[in-house]
Amino acid sequence: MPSDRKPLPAASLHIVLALLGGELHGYALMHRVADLSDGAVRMGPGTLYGTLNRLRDEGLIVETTDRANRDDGERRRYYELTASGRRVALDELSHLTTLVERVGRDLPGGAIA
Amino acid sequence: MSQPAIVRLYRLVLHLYPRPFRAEYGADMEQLLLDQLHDERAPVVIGRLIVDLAVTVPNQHLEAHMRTPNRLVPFAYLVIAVAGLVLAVLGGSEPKALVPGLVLAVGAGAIGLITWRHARSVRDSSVTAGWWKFLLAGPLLIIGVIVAAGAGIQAWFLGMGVVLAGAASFALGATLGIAHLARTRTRGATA
Repeated sequence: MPSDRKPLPAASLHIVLALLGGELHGYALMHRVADLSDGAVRMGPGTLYGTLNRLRDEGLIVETTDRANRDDGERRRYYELTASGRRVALDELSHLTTLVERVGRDLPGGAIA
Repeated sequence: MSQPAIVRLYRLVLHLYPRPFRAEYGADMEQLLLDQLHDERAPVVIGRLIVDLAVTVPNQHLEAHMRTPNRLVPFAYLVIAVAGLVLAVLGGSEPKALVPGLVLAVGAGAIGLITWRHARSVRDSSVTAGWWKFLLAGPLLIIGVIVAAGAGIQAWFLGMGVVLAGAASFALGATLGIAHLARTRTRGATA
């Protein structure tokens, strides 16, 4: 069933998908996004924190810095998906999977190798 | 350029962002740049940073602007509505003044209310929070008319208009007050 929600912008999409694996701090999140996209998406500080700010305002992520004792030297801020953020991320993932499957099926010569 | 110099320069450049955004994320952004410089070659990081700044600085200002309530437009409509009311009251029984005046007052008042509602910041407090101002303004307007009449000022149509506005303000204040009380109780119950 089609969702009423508009598709997430590219930066937000990458961040929520990267956070599906669990909480991350800014730099780790940037690395995770780069890994997921084979290095194609490398976010600068303004893009990363601007997007995190927007996602937090929309209630899709929360800061979890104070939830546990951290052993990293510098004090970094950690973020994770909220329940609603997780739903949105899974929904986006499902759309992408469906898209890839359909395109692969309709390609001349069969599915993508 | 050395790493500390780049970071110092970036700290200055961060002032291009809106103040609340910089206060919230400035230190994290600086730390992220430091981490990137540690892992990658400086020219690559600087190149990406310039593009990042060019895109995100205007974007953050736009977002900050959209979150700031703009009261100028609703205020302008309020002035037009009051002018229409004054025209209607001063025109008295003359339909050429009464009808356009009332239409102007009601139309501009309605548009003013809608624009005020839209101009509110997303973080703004409740609309009903100012209920007491309307409640207080009503009796004050009526007392003003009584005092003016007692002082011998004879402007009956204007007086009638002000009394009606006072009664409407009082009724609006009472309605908003009840709505505010109900909202506060609901929030208290869900907290």
